[in-house]
Amino acid sequence: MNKNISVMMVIVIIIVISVSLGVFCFIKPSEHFNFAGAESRNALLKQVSDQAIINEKLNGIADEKKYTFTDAYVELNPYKISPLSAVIIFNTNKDEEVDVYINDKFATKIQATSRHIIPVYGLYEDFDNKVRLVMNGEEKTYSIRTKKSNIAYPLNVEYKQEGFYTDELYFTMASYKTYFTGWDIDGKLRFYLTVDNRMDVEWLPNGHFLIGVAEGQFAENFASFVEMDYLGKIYNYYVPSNGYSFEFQVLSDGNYMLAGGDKPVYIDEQVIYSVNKDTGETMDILNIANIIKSIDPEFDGSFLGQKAIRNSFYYDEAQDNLVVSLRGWNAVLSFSYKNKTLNWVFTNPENELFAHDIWRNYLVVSSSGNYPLGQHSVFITPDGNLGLFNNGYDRLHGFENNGNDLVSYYKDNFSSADVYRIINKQADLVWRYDENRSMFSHQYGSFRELNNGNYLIDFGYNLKDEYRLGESGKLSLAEANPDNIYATILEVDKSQNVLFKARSEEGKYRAFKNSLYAPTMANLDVSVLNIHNNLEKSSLMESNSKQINLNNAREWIYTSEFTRNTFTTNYDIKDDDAIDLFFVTENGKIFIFNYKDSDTKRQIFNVDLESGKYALYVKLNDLLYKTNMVIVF
Amino acid sequence: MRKKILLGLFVIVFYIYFLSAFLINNYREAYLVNRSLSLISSYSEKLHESVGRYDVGLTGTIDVKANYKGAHGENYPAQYNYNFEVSDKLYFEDTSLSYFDINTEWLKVFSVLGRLKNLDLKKYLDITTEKNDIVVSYDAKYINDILGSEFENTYVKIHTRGITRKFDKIVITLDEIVVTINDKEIIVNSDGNEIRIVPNDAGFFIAINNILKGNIFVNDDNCSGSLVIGDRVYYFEVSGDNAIVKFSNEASIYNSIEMNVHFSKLELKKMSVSANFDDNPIIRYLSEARYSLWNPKE
Repeated sequence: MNKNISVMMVIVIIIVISVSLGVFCFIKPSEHFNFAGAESRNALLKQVSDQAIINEKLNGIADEKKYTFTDAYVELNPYKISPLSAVIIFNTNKDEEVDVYINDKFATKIQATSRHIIPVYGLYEDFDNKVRLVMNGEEKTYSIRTKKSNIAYPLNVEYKQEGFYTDELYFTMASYKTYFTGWDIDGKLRFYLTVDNRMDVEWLPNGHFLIGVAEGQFAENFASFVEMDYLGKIYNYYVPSNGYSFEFQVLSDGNYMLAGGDKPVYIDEQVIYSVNKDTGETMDILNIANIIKSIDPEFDGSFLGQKAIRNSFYYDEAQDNLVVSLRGWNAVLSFSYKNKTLNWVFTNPENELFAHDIWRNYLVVSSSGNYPLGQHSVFITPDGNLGLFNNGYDRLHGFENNGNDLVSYYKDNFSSADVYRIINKQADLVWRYDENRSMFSHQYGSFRELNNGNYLIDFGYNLKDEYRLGESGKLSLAEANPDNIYATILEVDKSQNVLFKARSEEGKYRAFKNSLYAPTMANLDVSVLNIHNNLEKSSLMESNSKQINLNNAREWIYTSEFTRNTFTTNYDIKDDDAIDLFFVTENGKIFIFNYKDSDTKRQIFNVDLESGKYALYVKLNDLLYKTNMVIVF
Repeated sequence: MRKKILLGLFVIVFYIYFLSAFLINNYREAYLVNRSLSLISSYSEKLHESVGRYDVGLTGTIDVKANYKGAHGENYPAQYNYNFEVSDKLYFEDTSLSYFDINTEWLKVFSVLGRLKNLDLKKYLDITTEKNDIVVSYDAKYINDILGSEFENTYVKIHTRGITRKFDKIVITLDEIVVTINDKEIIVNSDGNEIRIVPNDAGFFIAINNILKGNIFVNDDNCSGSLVIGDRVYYFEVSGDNAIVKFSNEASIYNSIEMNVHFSKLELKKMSVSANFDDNPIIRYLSEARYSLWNPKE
């Protein structure tokens, strides 16, 4: 008994001493990051990562087989980015074709299947749309109520020639507010995207289109583009090796040609290159800077990068004639894409960029004295002529390069849609439309020949007359502030008869014309979503939280958007800033990506980590910051 | 015998334990008061270094470079020149002698913070104990004379935790303004508004109502910082008689606005209110970067 008491007393003493020590020596556990409480983001571009979830949902609905022809599943805007579209899903016992009528107009015939996923395009906004399905003699009408779009700048139809009609839409691209929109011949909005995808749009034989994705863009040079339909459903997401800006073309073999740079987005040299449509891999590349320097090693190097403003190209495959518009040079160049050689240069012979004697071998002489000035939208017509939207603005000597900024200085300038026949370096102006020289669009603009033989012209940034007449108006201010500009879109036949004319109070970079439906089409395949990331993988350093103290990291107060290819922030990154991105796992392993050194530029990258969650830290000039963001790979 | 030794050890341990607690408790109050006043003094000194060390002038000139947005994101700069005055508002006067003004009510908080260093915190009236907390009372007149304020109630409460009354935080009450200080940060609450200041080895971090967040860097020859309000960043740098202020992000028709400020003695004429108030680049930029930092007093 005495022994038991002794033991108990010793135990009590030990407990008391331990508790006392614990109270005095209270140590807070170190916790560098709260994964549970942080904001989680997918490393894949949100616009793409959202699609997988929606695809799975729609597939699941179609697989359920609980919806019938007369009691179908109907969802407006299923991909959340195209508010005037919908999907109708139902099942039948056997394969059936379905005719689709939208607001009493025949839209398309959907090919036979028993698992029906019908895309509905071109709904009217703020309207109780009627979608009538006809199948095997039976009819069913579904009502789809849409909301008002609140699109900031409508398209106002000013003129339609009597008897002129089209079911196609006039699509417009604007980088100010409305981005990509589609309007019918009455000026009614029939399509728009609520995401910032732009600049060029290229339609594919299957009715889908290619469009650039603005995430991570700089000066409208983009890192990626998508193949998309009017529902906003993405089929293919491409991150090509050399980025993309301003122009695509679908080649006869189905592959794509695009304009880009020596590296994506932060361009020092302009390139035109082709990629495989199934893999996104680069097949061939033409480097404009290399060709120019091989001809003239003393060519002004400052004009070989962004300053060139390479805003369009067109490749005539049959003639191997690649024409490229370099607005910053006031020049259109023709290349042999196969041989990577220069054919000719179409620019004013006084152009100082081509002052060296060597250029005499290449310069095209215009019989009419008309030359490209700040031009856009080059193309080759079916009969082999060169078409371009001639802004009539000397961009090389404009206000951007310390030239005159006053609008009054340009009072006699005008823009036009020009077609030249160029043979043996002689250019003859064979067609021009200039709206009686009444419009001056110093920037933007497009010109294309349509399948029906008419021309579609976009005078994209006209100065309003009252502004042009004013003494103090400035072009630079007009460029920043759209209050004093408007766009005019015309469809004109080759005899210069205006068939259609519309106006927008917003600058329109380009206009297109295309149909929503083909006469027959397949059901939607919602399972398709391919990702083609063709950037070289970025190298990462490894460390851990024992070697790098994360506990004292400050709060990153700026915005930050991260995808595996792009990092954007509203912190004003300076040329001499050094930035590393830290990806930290829950068990303290750290992967470090050197985004930028003090003597290097920003970049598009390809950070590839194993599946999992990573807390994102930013090291800016030796100070470490915590973003409170978790990136999910 | 062994029993007696063990019992004796038991008594000694308990005696030592409770005696220690008793002694610690008695000296604890003095220790906590001194520790707390030292903490406040060190923060005041640090704030003064950043906020108060520059004799930032109340008048001077501002050269504004407003970078208009180009079609593809380029910068097209336009120059504007103003005289400025900070008094009841922030006034800008252009070369035609017309002016506009910006309300700067919330800047007054910082002028108070900058004067905290001048308080002698040992000049308290009384020290009392409330449960485990220590209350240090001050003469409101003394406080108001130093800070240029009109407070009626001024006292400091030192909060402790645990049975050993370990230091937890200090709560300073100045009427409706409550300042909470611990080893990590300072939090000022007033009429539903909150300012959080976290000193660090480079300067300090500041947040106002979680709408504004900023990093202030105190260097030997300048003080600089970035303030983020919503999705926009405002950068400043002060050295000697000059300052740089930059609105870094896109708003309205601008990519950014850069201002070079020179402090000097001058007098604004304010002949007339500017007719083109909304066209002024600073106003135009800020009108789109619309924010409300401070909840008004109800």
